[in-house]
Amino acid sequence: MILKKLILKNFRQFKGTQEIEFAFESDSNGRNVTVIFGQNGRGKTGIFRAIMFCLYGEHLLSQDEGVAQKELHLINQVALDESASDTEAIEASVEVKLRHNGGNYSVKRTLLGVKDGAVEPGILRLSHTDADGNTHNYEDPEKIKELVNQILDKNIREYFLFDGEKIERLTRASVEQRKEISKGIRNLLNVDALEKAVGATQRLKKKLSQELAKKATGNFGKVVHQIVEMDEKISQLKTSCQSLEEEYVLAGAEKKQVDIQMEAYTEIRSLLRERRDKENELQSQQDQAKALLLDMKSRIGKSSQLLISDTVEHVFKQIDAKKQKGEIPSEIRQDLIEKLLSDHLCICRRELIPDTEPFKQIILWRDKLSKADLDNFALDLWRYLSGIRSHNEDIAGIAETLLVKYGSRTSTIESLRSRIEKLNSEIGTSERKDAAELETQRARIEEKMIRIEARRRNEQGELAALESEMMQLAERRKSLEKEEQAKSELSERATLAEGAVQLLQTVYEEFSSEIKVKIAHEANLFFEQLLDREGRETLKEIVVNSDYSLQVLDRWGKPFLADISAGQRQIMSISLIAALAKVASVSEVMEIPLFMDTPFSRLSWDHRRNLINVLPRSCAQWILLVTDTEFSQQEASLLKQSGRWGEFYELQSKGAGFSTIIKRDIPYTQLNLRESLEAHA
Amino acid sequence: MNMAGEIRVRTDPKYRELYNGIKSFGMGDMHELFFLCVCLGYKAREKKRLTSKDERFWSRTVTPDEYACYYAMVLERNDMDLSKIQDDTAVISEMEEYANAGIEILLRECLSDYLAKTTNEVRLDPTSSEMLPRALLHFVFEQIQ
Repeated sequence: MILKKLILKNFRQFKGTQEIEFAFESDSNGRNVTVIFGQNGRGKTGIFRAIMFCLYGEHLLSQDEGVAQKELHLINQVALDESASDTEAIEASVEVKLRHNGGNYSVKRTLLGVKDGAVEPGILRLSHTDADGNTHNYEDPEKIKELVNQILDKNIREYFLFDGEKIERLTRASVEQRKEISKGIRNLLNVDALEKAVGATQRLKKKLSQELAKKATGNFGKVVHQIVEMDEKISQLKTSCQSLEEEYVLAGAEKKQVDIQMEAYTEIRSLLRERRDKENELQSQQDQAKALLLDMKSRIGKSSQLLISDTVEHVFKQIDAKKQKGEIPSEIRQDLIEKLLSDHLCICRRELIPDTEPFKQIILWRDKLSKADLDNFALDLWRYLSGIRSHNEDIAGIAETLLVKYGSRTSTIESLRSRIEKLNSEIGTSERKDAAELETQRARIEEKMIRIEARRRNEQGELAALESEMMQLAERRKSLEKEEQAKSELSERATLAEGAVQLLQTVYEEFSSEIKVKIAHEANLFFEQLLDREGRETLKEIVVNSDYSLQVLDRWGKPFLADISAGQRQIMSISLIAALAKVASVSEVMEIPLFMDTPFSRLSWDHRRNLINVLPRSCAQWILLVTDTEFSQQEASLLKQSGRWGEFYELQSKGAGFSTIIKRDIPYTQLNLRESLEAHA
Repeated sequence: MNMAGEIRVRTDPKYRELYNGIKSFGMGDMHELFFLCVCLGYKAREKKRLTSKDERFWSRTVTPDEYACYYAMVLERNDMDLSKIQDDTAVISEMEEYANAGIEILLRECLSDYLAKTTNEVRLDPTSSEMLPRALLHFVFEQIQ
């Protein structure tokens, strides 16, 4: 997807019709960077908001947490105030023109509002002109939603259209958020298609097994019946787990709704704010504790070797002593002896005749070779034990660090829980009866969420047990099929379908892990290029976990995420985004825009310089919404030198609640930007 | 070194569910729990013959480092006689006995709070197993202090 044009009408600060044309890679001059420059309050985030509103119909952004939708005015207030009467409707609209997979799209969404604040959705239209020039128009919101999600999945939109100050949240995403992100990434990388193929083959396998169960007899028949029953139980449990997950999300949304209603009670507003902050912090601490548990899970196996470190040391030293004394390795080379015997030629090039003395001598050497094999064996073992010994200290160190960090997280979690409990009781005993009632309702929802989570965990445990039992039954079925010669065309088809499911599952797993390895590799390449020198010295690599959450390892290979700076977190997140876009793009250059709102504010000059040097070369489009404090003469000059800067807009204030978008020439940036702004003002 | 991959590693059938459960909640894979149990049994110099056997996993999942540790244990117990580590089936078979003793130590000293109370089979209680990785790592760490 490439953004071509944005047309705004009476949207947020932008009164009347105003537009921005974005630079992108296939422009004749190869310039692909657009800078939208404005001081705080001029409407930079309004532009970001406009794109989100137009494509996804969203009124609120993730940064609007705690703001009720009705409190946010999308229709320009000045236009509303100027309307002739209280009942005259003012139209606000956003139109996004974009290019995707060789086709051109135009999405337009409007809102109608009147002076008293009432707002209604207006038209929604998507027009698509394909590569052959045929145009298709859509007005069905569901169809438009589907098409937009195919262009850029809603679950991962914030990967590519993001707020720089919040982007580092990617490294702190909650478990629920990660699930959504993971789903969106799978969609982006087309892993979803493979998942669907696995599902379809599974259904075929089930159908054939059911048919087979009707016809099979004897012990074989019994096992086939058991398999069908167990298959049914497994799919029921899977459905149940899924609906429990959905129920949990719904309960969460219900709780959020109650929280919004409670915000109306000013008496308890500060308590509510504190509770929301504490709950967010609790969630983040719980997520970090869970990540630590996952890390521990992957390290117990390796840590077990610490239990026999004395044995490793002892055996290593014994072999090492033999090695020092020259007792191993034996100097006799097996390949040489085999060659002498097969060529019937001695080392001195004389013929080797069986039963002669030289021949017997070589046979004696060959017999000695069994000892040489053992020597080689001992040498290999020496190498492995040497590696194990050298890692023992690190393994113990990492285990200790993980345990200490986990301990500290759990104690923070405990104190947060006790503070939240106290806040709950203070809010619950509020003098406002209706507020207290809402609080009781909220407590009930929370209890429900705890119950759902416990049930889900139970069912997942049951599911894991059933799946392993199923594998045993499948093995048993195979051996009975041979014993009872129960082979038939149907059973062969059922076996084939089962084989196909396993094969597809393996392909899926290999593909997913290959993709993850590729993403991690690309992310690390970007990370290395984007980090400043200090970061490069401290941090070794990014690890992309199975759920696409991130970890970073320090130079000793220890997890270091909790200790890195906000700027480094931002660089980590940008590296992952760039890697995702690159892996998802067919060409070398990522065909996905990077749309960044205030990207530089937390970054050091070195980080800014690296971003400006690296990103325009790696992506088809880079759109920057910047303030005067983060985009100075230094950044502007560097960007100009890159030769990639294609479009430049300035947001200027025309009074309260009214900004205009002014297209500027690039050379303008050679002047001091701040001084220029003042001159214009 | 052979590090044969075609051997079926066996455990007592009564631990089937425990192995499955720990794979889901506590550790990455079955060979890792087996390795932990071998190390525990070996450290305590305890072996226990398997009266009945259940094939649990393929030796191809055993990592080279784990295999190297198994060879080291056999060598140490056999006065560095290298011929004793030529036959991987015999090595794995000996390790099965250490693991069989080790799993009892693990059950007794670490897992008692995480087992389901309602069943005669040894199995984990999924509702209380979330923190199992921490318990296992802490247990290993305690043993080496």
